[in-house]
Amino acid sequence: MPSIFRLDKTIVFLGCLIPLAYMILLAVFDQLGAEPIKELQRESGSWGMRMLFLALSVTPIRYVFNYPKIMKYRRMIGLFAFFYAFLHVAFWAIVDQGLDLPSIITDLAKRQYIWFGAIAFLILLTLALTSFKFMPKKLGIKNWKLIHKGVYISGILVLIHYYMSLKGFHIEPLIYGSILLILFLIRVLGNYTSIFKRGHVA
Amino acid sequence: MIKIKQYSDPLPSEITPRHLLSRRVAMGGLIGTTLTSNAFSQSAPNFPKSNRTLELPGERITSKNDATNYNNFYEFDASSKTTPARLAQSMKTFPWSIEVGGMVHKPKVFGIEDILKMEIVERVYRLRCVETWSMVIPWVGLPLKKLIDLCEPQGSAKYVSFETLADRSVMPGLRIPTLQWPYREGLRLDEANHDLTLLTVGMYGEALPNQNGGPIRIVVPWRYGFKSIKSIIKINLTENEPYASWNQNQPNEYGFYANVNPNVSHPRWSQARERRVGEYLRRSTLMFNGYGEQVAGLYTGMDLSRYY
Repeated sequence: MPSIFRLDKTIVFLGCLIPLAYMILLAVFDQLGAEPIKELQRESGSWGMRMLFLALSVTPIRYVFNYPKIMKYRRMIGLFAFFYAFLHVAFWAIVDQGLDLPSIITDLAKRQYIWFGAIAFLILLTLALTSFKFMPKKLGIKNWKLIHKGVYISGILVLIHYYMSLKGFHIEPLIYGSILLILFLIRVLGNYTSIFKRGHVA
Repeated sequence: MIKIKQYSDPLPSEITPRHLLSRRVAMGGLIGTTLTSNAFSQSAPNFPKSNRTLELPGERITSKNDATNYNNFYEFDASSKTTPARLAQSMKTFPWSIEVGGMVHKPKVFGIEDILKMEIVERVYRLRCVETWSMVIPWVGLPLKKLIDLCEPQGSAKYVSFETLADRSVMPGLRIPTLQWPYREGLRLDEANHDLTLLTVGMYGEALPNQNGGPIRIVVPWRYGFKSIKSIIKINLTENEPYASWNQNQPNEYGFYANVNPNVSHPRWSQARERRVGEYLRRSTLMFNGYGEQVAGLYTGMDLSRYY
C-alpha cells in the first residue's frame, strides 16, 4: 500500500470533518435558529469537547479491547479537537465580539468560565504546535510526554468551562463528566494494574 | 427541519380570513349564548381582535418565526431553545384556569375564556433575556392590575406570586431538577399593578403559542425574561417576598428584582450589551430595558447593585 494515502486514516479524517460539514449545512439551509452566531459557537465548542474526549478515549480503548492499532489515530483526533476549539475561539473573538478588543479583554478579565476555556485552549494550542513527528526528538521524549500530559488537564478544564456556561442544573455536564471519569479510571487501571493485560500486548 | 404545529386542533382564527374574524367572534358569542355547553364547551374560544395601543418607535418587530421557535421553556427541554416549539404542543391549553387567592377579599378562579372576554389590547414591548439576547414582540393582553383588582387585594398584601403548570405527563423537562419545580416567580404588588405589567394571552395578533407560555403568562418588559412567567395556573397575594425559582436556585446570579441593568454584570457575563435576534452586531442594553421613565420611580432610593 502506498505510504501517503492510507484508506483507514482517510476514513477517520473524513469522519472527523462530519461535524464541520454539519455546521456548514445548518448555516447554508438556515437551520441555525434565531441566534445563528451563538448556535455556531455552541456547536463548535461542543464538537471540540467531544473530539477531545474521543482523543482521550483512544488509550482506554486500546486497554479494554486490547487493540493497540488504534493508537495511530490518536494524533489526528487530537488535532481535530484543537481545530474545533480554534473555530470556537475564533467565532467568539471575531464574530461574536466583533474583534472589539476592550470588550474581549473585559470578558477575559471578568468571566471565570472563560478562563477555564482559555487555559484549555492554550494547552491544546501547545499540544498542536508540538505534535509534529520530529518534536519528541527535538524536545526530548521525556519532556514531550510531560507536555502532552496536559491533555488531561485540558479535558477537565473544558468540562468545567462547559458546566459554567450553562444556567441551572443540567444533565449533560454530568454525562460528559462521567465519561471523562471512566476514561481516567480505565487509564489508571491500565497503567497500574494488570487487569487489561490478557493475551498479547503489542 | 422542525415541523411546527402551533395548535393540537386548528383554531378558528387559523382558518378564518382575518377580515372576517371579528364577525366570527361575534357569531361565536351569539351561538355560545343560545346553544349552551355541549358543542362548545370542549373547544377553545375564538381569539379576539385587539387594537395596538403601544408602539415602539424605531424598533423593528422580531420575526414571528424567530419569536416562536427560540424559547426557554425548561419544563419541556432545558437544553434546547428550538425543541420547546415542538414539545410544548402536548400541553392542553383549553380548558385552562387560573386561581387567584391568598390575601384577597374575593378569591376567584378565572377560565381562560373569561379572560379573553375582558378588554384586551396589543402592545409592542422589548424582551431582554438574562442570557443577553433580545426581541421586540407585539403582545396581546390586559394590565395584570385589572385581574388583581377584581379579587380585591387586602391592605396588607405586598407581593404577588405566580406558579407555572407542572404536569409530568406532558412536560419531559420536569424529570430533570434543573430548577425546583413548579416554576415560580414573584413581583412586588406595586410592580404587578404597574400599567406596563401585562397579563398576556397572545402575540402577533394570535393566541399565545404553547412554547411562548400559552395560554396565559405575564410580561414584565423592564425585567429579564425569566421574571415573565409562562403558562400560569396560580396567582397568590402575599405579605412576604415569595419564592422565585431562579433567585432561590442561584441567589448570587439571579436577584428577586432582575431589572434589566447594563451596569450590573451577571457574575459570569456582562449585561452591558445584547444581541437583538435577527441582527448581527450587539447593541447597548438600555437601563430598565428602555422603560426607565415609566418604572424608575418604583425603585427610588434602592441600591440596584444590591437589589439586582
